[in-house]
Amino acid sequence: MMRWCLCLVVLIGLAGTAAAGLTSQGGAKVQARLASELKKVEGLLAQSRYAEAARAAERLVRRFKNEFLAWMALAHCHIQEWPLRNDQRAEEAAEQCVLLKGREPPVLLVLVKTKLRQSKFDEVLALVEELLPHPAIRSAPETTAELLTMRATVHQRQGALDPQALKKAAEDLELARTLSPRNVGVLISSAELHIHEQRYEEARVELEAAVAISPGQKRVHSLLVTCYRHKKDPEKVKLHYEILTLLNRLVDSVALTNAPKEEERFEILRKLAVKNPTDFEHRMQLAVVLWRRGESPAALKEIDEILKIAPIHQGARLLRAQVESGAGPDEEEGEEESEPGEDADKDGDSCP
Amino acid sequence: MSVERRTWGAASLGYALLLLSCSENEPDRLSSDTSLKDPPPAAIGSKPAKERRTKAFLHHDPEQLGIDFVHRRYQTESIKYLPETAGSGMAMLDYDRDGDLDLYFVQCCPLPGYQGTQAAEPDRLYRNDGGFRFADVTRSAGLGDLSYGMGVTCPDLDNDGFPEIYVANLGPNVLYHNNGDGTFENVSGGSGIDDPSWSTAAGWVDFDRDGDLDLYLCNYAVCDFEHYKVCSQGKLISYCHPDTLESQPDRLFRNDDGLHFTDITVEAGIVDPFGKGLAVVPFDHDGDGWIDLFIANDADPNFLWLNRGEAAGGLQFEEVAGLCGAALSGKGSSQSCMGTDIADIDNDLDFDIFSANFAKEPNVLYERIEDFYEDRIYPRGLGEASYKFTGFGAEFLDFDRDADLDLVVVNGHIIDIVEQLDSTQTFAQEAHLYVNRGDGVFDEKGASIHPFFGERHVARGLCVGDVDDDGDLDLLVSNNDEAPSVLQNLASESSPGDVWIGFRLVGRKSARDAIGARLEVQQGDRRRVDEVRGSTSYLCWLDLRLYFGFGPGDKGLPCTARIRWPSGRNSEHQGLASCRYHVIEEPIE
Repeated sequence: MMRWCLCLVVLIGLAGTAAAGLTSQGGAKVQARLASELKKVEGLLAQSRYAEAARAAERLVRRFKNEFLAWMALAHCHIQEWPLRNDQRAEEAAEQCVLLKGREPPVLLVLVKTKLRQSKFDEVLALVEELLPHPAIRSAPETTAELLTMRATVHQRQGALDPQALKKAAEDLELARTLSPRNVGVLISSAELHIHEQRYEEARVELEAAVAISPGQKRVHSLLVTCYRHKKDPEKVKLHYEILTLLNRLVDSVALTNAPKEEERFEILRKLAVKNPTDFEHRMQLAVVLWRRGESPAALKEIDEILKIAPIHQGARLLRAQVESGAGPDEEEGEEESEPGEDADKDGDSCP
Repeated sequence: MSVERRTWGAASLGYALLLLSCSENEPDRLSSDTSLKDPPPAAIGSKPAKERRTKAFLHHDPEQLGIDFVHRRYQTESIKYLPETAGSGMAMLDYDRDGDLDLYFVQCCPLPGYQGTQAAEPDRLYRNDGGFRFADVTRSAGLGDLSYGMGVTCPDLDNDGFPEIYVANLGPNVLYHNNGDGTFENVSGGSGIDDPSWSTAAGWVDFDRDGDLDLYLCNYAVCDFEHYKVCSQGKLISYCHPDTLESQPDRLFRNDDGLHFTDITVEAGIVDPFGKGLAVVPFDHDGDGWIDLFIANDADPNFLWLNRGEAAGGLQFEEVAGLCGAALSGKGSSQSCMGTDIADIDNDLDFDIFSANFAKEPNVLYERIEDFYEDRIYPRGLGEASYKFTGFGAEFLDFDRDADLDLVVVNGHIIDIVEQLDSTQTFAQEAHLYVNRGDGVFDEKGASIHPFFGERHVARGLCVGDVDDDGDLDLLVSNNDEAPSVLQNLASESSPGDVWIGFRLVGRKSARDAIGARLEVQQGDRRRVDEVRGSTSYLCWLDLRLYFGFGPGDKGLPCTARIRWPSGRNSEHQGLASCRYHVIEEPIE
């Protein structure tokens, strides 16, 4: 996930400060309900249950149709990487946010990503041009770097028919790297440009840097497979392809929800921990699953491993405290029953 | 499964007379290096009322050509089974060996719950009578399958020179033996390949080099009519996502004696073949002379089955798509790969793989780089234009005979109500013609080349072949629930100075269709390569002849052809005249 995307955790935090905007709908009670439902969406997203999260967000926007945060949550569901995501719906939600709050950078940042996903390249370039001079963006080098990276992606994709476009892409990426040297998005895009021009070793160096920062990104592993093929290193090809396959299975199951069933997910996460031990994000998920299964000693062992890799990982520390306290895990966030009279999604429904 | 089946009555006297005339016209066996036929003048003498001509193509009204076939999907409004929106394919075959391409169209039939009034209609065979005119010979030929049809292939299974017809159905597949007299006999029962699953594509290759064609059969998914889960969006019933259906495993069959087959899926190492296969394309991935297979899977990683050949001491396959770079998109995700073609897009004498994909994911081009493949859809200019479209039939062809391969992709969404669900999508969609700039980079220019490419159809199959034998490649498109589209190529008229050459390869130690034969042709310092495949595109069987355009040049300069036959033999043929088709038989020492 690119860092410029608004995190739902932040959104939930914002929900607490959004009481003023909610008074028209019933004040504190409504605020609490919105925050609670946003938390449910976040919980589902954290478990890669994207289809369910998107449906929960759809219910949210029906109940809170004038609430910016509800629409942002919906947009957020559809800018995640999952096969049945609806880029058009993400764009509609972001446009609704623009209507409610104006052309604020956080919304436009979501909008530009949805347009990039839909290959609306001219609109992406226009939005990037609009955002780059904005004071809030100019004071945020990370975000500026990410916008430059998006523009570079557009230039790169247009590069087949316009040789100048590749030069522009390289310039944008160079500037982005200056602003944010450890930005994974910049590293990946630089690697893609190298691969586009068949400079595989240079791409590999960028990707090894990226995987050290963010070991759980499937895009990095996919590109590393390409680079190691050319380096004639079958062991590395096999390793990164296996990691890629496992990461895909977390979001590309045959299940209707597009998330694997709990037991399958557990097995995938266990294998990932072995194949990709530095991927503490998925190891955190494994620790939570172990805790939920009542295997607290195993969960604690897994948390210790995470803290060896990332000693300041706040989530791991919090989880450890919770497991050690002997408290049971929260109830799993799941689909909520629809209210009477609502247009409920029936079992068997699927997004086309 | 309760797919309605009916049989045709006895052929009429008129059809019987036609049948006799077919057998009288049977050509002699053609010998090595002889011209199949001189290219006749372009057949545009009498113009059908609705034809639309531009410089590049003549867009015919098929009915005016004698093709009255209209595909029906028999939509069950209250259920919407996924197969309804998947088909159907068609074939170009020379069933009567008179030297020109006849046409076979696959039809569907009512499924349980169908409440419409449309009666079941059979598949159809149309005989090419020359001059771009066709006659329906379905009844007289003893054909007329009434199953819910998907794909069709036309291999010569008994090596007698007359192609059989194998129809892949939702329900038992059907094998028709070509009797060689213009008629066919249904020999499905006992053939061993009347697989009752939901089959889609069939790939025919002599995997074990014993001189006959074996079968790789793509199966899609389990379609249980009694427990079919209806999918909806609010109150709108919609076709389900493929993930809602359980995959049906593919199968490998060994040809025992021409028309009888044995299932050797497991012993050949085709293990865990649980992809939803929609296309199977034979090609020699590793250049060892043993033909391998690329399988395009819908919403699952693709397969590349490597034929281990002699090295494994028998018929053994290994799945290597993931390690070779042909399983996933460049982004590392499974895609909904459908129509597929394999060709040398940049004239570097190796083969690249193209698959058309679902809307909102670009098509995929696995370009061969060293020993691997890499998705280079954007660097080759094929990505941006494809993003919004759901691609099905896909074929590389040198439509303008300028010495490089162009690409046609025909499109159409799978959800009939998609406009109500997504304002960016339409059910019927435009086809694309990507023109090769000469350096392997493509530019989509269809609508500027012919208005057909601005029309919307729910297109599925795409067949390419020289239907009028005039030295350029014509296009046929099978459309879901409508008549096919027919585009006659006018390059031979508009660019008479172009050099081209074509080949029909005839195996003798190899299976007669010579599927998998690699042919490298050279004129002066220009070299091109292709392989005989048959089953490319989507649910289709194409002209087995190999065709090469060389652009404007010296027609007097002879060509040389170097062939590696499926049997492992090599042959070289020099002094071949350009601007004609050559029939080359495999030499036997």
